[in-house]
Amino acid sequence: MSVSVLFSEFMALMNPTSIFNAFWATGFGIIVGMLPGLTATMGVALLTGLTFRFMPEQAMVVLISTYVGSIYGGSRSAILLNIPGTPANAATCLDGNPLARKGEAGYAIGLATTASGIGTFFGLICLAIFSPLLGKIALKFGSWEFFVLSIFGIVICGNLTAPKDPLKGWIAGIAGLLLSQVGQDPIQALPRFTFGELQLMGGLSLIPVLVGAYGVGEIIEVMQRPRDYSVRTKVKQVIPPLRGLFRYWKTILRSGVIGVLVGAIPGVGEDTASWIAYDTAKRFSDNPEEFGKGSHEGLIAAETANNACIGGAVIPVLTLAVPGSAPAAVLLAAMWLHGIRPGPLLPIEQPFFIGTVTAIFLLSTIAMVVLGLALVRPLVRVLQVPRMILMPIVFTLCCVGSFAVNGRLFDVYLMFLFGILGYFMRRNDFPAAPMVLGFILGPMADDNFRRAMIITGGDISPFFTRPISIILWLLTLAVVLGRSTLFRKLLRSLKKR
Amino acid sequence: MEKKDFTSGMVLLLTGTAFFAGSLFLPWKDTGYDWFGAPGLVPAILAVLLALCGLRLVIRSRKEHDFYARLTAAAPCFCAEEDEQEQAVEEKGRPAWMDREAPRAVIAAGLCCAYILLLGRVPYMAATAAFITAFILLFRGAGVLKSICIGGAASVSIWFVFYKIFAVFLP
Repeated sequence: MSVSVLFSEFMALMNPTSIFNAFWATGFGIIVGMLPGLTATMGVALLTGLTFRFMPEQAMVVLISTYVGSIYGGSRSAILLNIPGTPANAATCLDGNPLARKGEAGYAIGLATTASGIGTFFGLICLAIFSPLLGKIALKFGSWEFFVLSIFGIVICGNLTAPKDPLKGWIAGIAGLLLSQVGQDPIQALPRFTFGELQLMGGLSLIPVLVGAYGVGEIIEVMQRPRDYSVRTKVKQVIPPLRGLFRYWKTILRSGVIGVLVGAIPGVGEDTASWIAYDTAKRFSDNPEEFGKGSHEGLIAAETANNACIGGAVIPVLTLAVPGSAPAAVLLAAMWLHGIRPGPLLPIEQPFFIGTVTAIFLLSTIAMVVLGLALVRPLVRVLQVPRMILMPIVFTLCCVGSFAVNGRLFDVYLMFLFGILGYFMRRNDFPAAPMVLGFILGPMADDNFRRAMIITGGDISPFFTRPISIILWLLTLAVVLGRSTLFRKLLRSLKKR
Repeated sequence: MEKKDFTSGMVLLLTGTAFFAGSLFLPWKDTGYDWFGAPGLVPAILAVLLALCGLRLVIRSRKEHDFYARLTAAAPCFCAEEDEQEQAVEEKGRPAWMDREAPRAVIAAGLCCAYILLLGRVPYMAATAAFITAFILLFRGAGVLKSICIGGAASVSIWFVFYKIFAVFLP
């Protein structure tokens, strides 16, 4: 994509409506991200339903700004409360909170804001450069490759989102794939698992499933904790610490690359990116002993990576219609709702859309930095609102969001059921991200598997012989074997010899 | 956790079996294609995979009693410490159920369930105001008057912003 396209798309966004939408949505995202228990996925899912009647471009402005704002916003509670606002900010706690305890809360917030801004900017540059390139490769994908890609996505997402026990991640992914089979099948339109219920003919709607699994599940989880939290750290003036920041340019660059790469892997997301970047920064640091005690470098690494991951996560959304993270999955669903068809044909059908998305990222980055630095004290006050006042309001918004898309109460009930399911999944250590990814990729996997089988007359060999499929299978196999105890024992015995 | 895994595994095993049985009842012959184009093919494969994973979970929970203990010992904790002692706010004079997780979760879920059942049967603003007020009151977020004010203000605001400004349908 040329700079002139990006510039013209950005200038097209420079109208009062877009700027207004970008600023309020980024502010909303920051608040959602700040509040422990409310995640970026929930924020984006909530607004997907609520912006259903917006023009597609304005809806994208709102949703992308919310996504960017919420990933950044989580750093506030991580620094001030030692509780990550979203899972993406867990690594931020390690150095952000010790800095706050030293009386440097304002400096830590300034550092996190600028690092997040640079991370998002790095992500959007990669989005602009690599989306068209990956789009060209994606044009070579046939039904075989799309099926294998969906399996690869589920396996790797399950593996990385359930680091303790990958089996539970894979189970969640398979369950998501299976749940997506409810409704009419994509080839012959025959009803499956509908039990004659008309409401199920169109399948389980994505927004209620997402809002339920991420929103309602989280509300119940937050409310069950007997204790509430309060901000006890004082925040002094925040000055963007540019000189202090650019001392760590190598860490910023490295964390940006890690963020984008992890983001581009289907379903993995910002939390993994920030942990990997934090760990890598510690390994390469001249002062590794400072990590965990208030290291500026550690804070910068975590915040750069989680925001750079956003751009990375959107690359496969636009080119392959495969989400790179859970909030990106909602973004993908929102694009479908607004009649935008991401995938290999996107650059042909809507040649300027990638440019528009990149320009929206740029606008929301500006909004994030401006709001992040300007509204430090008012945003801290939001953290002081008790959860017993906040959560019922959030639940009513979840209901509105689920109802708004199809205008039927069935979706609200569905949302609640998935909320209960999401709650039990959390209690039993099953991650929600692979289930959501499976739910998104299910129709693609089913459609492409059967289409491929019909083309080859039931011959499954092309799934294993086409070059891109072979690469994807090998990667999938490596991920599965890498976590197998038997395989690790075998490797250890080989090393001993 | 091993006990929970056993229950989860059994649920998954049963769910997988039920989906597999359901997929067998779907048309396999008269679809215009052979068996490989049948609508039940992919669900059947996925159901078998789910059941097998559930079975693996059940077997592991029975045979490897120290699975999670080994995991904790092998992998050092690389997570943020939640300093609950220092940051927690004590709420004095509250009922005993508020200090236990299970009743809190049940009451929160119960209130949410009651609210969604009210939607469509009671005017939206009234149902929303009642739900928010009851929630705040029950969890002792504020006094009676303040709870009613918050509930009323929130329901009117939501109605105004989404129905009037965003033109979104409300239940």
